[in-house]
Amino acid sequence: MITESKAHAGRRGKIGLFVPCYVDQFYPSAAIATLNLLEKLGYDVGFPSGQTCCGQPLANSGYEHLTAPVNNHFISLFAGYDYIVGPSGSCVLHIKEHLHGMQEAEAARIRSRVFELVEFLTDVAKVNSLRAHFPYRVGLHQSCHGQRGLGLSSMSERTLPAFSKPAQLLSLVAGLELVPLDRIDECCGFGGTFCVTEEAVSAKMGKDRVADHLKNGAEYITGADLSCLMHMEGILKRQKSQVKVLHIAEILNAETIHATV
Amino acid sequence: MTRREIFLDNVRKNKPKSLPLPAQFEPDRNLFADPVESFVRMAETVGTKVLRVNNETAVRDYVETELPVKGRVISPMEVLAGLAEPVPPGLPHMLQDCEYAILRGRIGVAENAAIWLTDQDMGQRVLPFITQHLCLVLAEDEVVALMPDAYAQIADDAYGFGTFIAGPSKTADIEQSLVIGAHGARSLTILLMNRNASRGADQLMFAGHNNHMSQ
Amino acid sequence: MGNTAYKDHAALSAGFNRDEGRVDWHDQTLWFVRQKRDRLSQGIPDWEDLREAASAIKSHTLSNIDTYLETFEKNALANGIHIHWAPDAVSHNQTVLEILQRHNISQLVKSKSMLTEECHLNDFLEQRGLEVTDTDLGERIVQLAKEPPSHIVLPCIHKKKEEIGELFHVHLGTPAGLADPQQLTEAARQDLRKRFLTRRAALTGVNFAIAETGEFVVCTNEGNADMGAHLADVHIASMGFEKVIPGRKELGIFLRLLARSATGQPITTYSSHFARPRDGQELHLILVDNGRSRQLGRDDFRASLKCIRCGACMNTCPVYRRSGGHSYHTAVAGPIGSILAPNLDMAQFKDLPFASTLCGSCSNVCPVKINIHEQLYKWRQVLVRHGHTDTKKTAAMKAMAYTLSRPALLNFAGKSLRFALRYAPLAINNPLNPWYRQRDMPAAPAETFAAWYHKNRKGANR
Repeated sequence: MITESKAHAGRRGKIGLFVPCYVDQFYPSAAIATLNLLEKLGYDVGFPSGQTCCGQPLANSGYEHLTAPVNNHFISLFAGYDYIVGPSGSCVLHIKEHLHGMQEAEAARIRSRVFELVEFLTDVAKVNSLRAHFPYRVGLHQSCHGQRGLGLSSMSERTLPAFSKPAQLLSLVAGLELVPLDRIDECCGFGGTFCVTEEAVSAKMGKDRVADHLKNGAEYITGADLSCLMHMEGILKRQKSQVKVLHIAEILNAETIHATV
Repeated sequence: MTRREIFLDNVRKNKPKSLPLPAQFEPDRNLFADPVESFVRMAETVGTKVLRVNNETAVRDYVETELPVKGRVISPMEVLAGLAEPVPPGLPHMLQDCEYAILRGRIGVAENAAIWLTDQDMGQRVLPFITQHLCLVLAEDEVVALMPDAYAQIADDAYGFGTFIAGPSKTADIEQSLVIGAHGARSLTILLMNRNASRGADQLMFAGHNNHMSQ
Repeated sequence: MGNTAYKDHAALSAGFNRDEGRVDWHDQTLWFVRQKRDRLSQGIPDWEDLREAASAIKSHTLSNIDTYLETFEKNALANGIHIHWAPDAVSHNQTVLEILQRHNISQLVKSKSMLTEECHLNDFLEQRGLEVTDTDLGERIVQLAKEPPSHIVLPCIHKKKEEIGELFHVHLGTPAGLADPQQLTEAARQDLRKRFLTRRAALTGVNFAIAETGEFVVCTNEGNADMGAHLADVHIASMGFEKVIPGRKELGIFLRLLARSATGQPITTYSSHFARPRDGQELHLILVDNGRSRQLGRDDFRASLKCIRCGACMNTCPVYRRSGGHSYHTAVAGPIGSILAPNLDMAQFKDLPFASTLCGSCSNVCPVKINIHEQLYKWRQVLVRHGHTDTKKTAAMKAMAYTLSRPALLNFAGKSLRFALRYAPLAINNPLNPWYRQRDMPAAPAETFAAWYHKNRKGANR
């Protein structure tokens, strides 16, 4: 449990950095960029150690009833923070919708204080300028859970004013050109365990999504959810494409021209 | 227990607690400035030919001079007496060789170009469907903006059968290719009489030089 | 079904995906319909309010459904319509058979009714020597092909025109190689006209039944329901009980939503209101439950009964577009079918709630605002609780739950995976790993974020 003094140590509040398991294992640079961004904005960012997973793979497979220990673990790690911020829309959505536990009051508090990075930047930190520079053509993947679940962007099937929080942030990046897509918000087909249980359809969806970005001249594909990006990266690499995926945090944090790995 | 009792018993056992009927929905009416113009435009997008005419006399003129027909022309409209065969009573199958049917519609809906008519307007229910070509006569002041407006007029009218018809029969079942003329009429022509014509006045002669001006 | 080996959605859609060109074609055709729908819905400024109103009307009606059914019955009887109550599919089919037998009718024309697909009426009647002609063009095509419809609005959307031309060549005698939609439609028109004129019974579905007037509404573009009903001596209409709405006023809302959502048309060509039989005709209406009351009793799944069968959720579904309707092995495919079918038979349809990425587009396209993707999630929980999952998966999930609440264990598991990826990629990058069949694994970084943090921000936190 974090102490009161710690909770108010930062100028703008204390953030618990939520790094989903697969980000920790496979995309540490996205988490580093997230940390740097939040620190640059004047937040005191803590990284509770011993993080595991939000439990989404279990719940989406129909085993939500097994998530109690995972939930209680999550609650014990993130109790007391002003905000919990993570660079993954899907995991954040899962916490927002399904986190319950023995300390239910704390669980409810976490559910109301957990943010995906982009929504945190636009809605809480109110970022309206960035020093970032990224002189490339970028395709934005609207991850479904972020888009429809967290409301990061309007949806093409709704009759409501159009907006996109990720695009709003990317427009602040010098040199970046956002490429138009034929289908602005089609699912990439990752879908958690869907990607292996429904391999044929999942891979086809991923190939189609990547093809749209390639056709429209993207040099990078970005988004607010690394699970989708991991899926599309798997397709791109198999196709020996030069196009790279990059989490949006890394672009927003790119103060010098990004050196591709 | 009868099937009815079993059925209703299962439904009652499972229904949730009652939720209220929402307040009457007030549709946004900023869809178009001029319902008649929109009706005409919409009709054309659903494959209908619209001809503007003055009045029922002009309808008669149209049938007399313009109808490119060989075969049976059937209409229950009195104004077409002598030009069109009245709807024969008896087996509806007798209408199978009807080439052209002309019927008086009751309400036109601007948002979708649908025209409401009932069995009283058809003579035989099958007529607007079995005919090869259909012509519906409507007056401009019978055009309403939206479907709710149409139902406000229909209200509690008693009819045995009524239908909204919007365009000719069509299908896109084969590869989403639009084909006009599935099982019903192969074409729909709307003879749209101007505002005053339906009230029996024919003083509006300025359009008279062209009784069937195509839009 | 039944005597062939059970194939689930994953297996059936893998089959569909063996012809990638066809998948592309299927996807693009349905996406085209979705775009038409977008243009039309965006033309209605208060579209979202309209959806909300429709949804609330359905909630209200379902919560008073017994009263509305009785009101409908009373008014329909007064109109001279015979009302039948069918608690299940078998009683529905028997009712149809009895009506036909009473009139010595052995042939009927049938317009689109997904309910009769659900009840397997055609098989039932054909096994008893009766002949059923489906008259909707798409349904006629799949009937000739001896296949079920693959889409509730576009029954033969999976078929190419050349395949249809071949079917018509065999069954209707059109010239070999004819593949022009116009000419094929004309051939069907001629053939079906003969049938409309000679069949004494017509069966139609029902889009809406109006409690206050005792009438019902059937919507078609082709005019086939009307051609059948107005020529037949006996008209039978079959409907699930959830099709009842309070009054004509409400119809004004639903008819604005239905065709725009379904095919991107402002309204179907024909919206026919059947209130009384015509002189000399018998009009029967069969109300069907077949599991709907059970679904009505499930708090989490009741809203699925709001469905007006527009098919918009199928057209928008990225999985449906790439797996084809037959992969759902049930009468109503796609997202809505995947939340309806487990109510009919959990064991048989246990795979369907998993045939989704939970992207949520279905819920947002739905004209009556059914929370389809949330129900898919909830069905997953129900299916697992009822044991409709294999034991290996359950064991794996239990192990996962155990590991995920124990950071040291997960850290070890993660390290092993990264180690394997770095130093023995072939151990993971092999075709037995379903991820790897068409996708590479992510590159393994030298260290985790946690390790980096420990080195670079040491002492920063507990």
